[in-house]
Amino acid sequence: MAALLARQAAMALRARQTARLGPSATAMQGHLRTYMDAGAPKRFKEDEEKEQLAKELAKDWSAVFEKSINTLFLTEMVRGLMLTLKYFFERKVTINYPFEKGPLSPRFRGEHALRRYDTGEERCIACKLCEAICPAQAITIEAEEREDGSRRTTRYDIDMTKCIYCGFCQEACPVDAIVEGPNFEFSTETHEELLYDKEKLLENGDRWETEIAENLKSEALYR
Amino acid sequence: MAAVVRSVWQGIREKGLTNFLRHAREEGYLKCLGDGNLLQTKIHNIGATLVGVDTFGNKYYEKLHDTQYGRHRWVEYADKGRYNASQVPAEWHGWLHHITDSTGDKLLEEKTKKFIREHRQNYTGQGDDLIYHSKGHALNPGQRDWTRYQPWEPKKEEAT
Repeated sequence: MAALLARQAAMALRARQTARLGPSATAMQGHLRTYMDAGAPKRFKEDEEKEQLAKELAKDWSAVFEKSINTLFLTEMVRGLMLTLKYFFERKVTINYPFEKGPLSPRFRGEHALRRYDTGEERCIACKLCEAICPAQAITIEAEEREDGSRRTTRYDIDMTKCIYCGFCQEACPVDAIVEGPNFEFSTETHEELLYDKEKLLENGDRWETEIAENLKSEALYR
Repeated sequence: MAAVVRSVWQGIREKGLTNFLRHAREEGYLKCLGDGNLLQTKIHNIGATLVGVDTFGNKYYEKLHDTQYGRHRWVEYADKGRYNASQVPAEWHGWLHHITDSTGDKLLEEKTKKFIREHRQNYTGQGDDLIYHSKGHALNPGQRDWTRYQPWEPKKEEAT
């Protein structure tokens, strides 16, 4: 059966080749061919497929030899390894991290910080909007009246291991007190170091204020 | 290669051998041999412009031509051995992360607030006395006498 198919395919192939390549083909045949070519590019695709099939089915010595040589010498493996080798010698695109750093957005949401006014007075007025909006419920606030009569927090805790860094707290804050600063290199070895209280957050604010203020200034038009 | 040998020879001639070796050690050229990342930075430094030096001694370089995309700003840490990404202070952090074009020196000039504290690197895992403990923590030195809140003491505006 296979031999029959192969012979048919080979015959069809030969017929087509003579029709196309034969320089002494009759003029009428040539006319007919060009006429048909213009109308049917699809037919050629079918022909190509047929040709492919014929090649696959062909069991002559050269085809068998080529296939077995491909298997024996693992040519596909060699081609894959050559690609690996090419990228091994190509220029690297990784940055040299602690020395070079990747680009960040001025809106980057990293480590939290509590800001102060220019006088040094803390901004937070204990409205608890951030606590209310926090989807991970990472913020805990307790408030009390201070001696001068103003309302301030006595406790402002953020569990940084609960926090999902969504930035809702800084969006909810009416006085720009709680912000997510640009720092993301605050990983710790223990869990308790990540349980931030108010002192730590204010300290963060004092340390990062130069950059936080710069970022807020550059984003002022869009807020 | 020839240029490197020539500059080394010139350095030895100018400073003397012991001084030259000390200088090389301080600049981290000896650490380069065991630390490929530092060596890469040192090679990167050739032909780059020094943009500024922060208070800790970290040097910030920039090279706008003949560098790969996104690798035109970098820092060489003052501590050549135990350098750490969190040693970059806040004023230079934005410049190094390509957030802003204003350098740290410019930011410090523009706004100096009185309450700003000195930058502190991330000391986690390097001892209990270096890391932060919350105010109720047993290892916090001020644990005994903490108050629930700190009252605000308005200070008089200094005449500027």
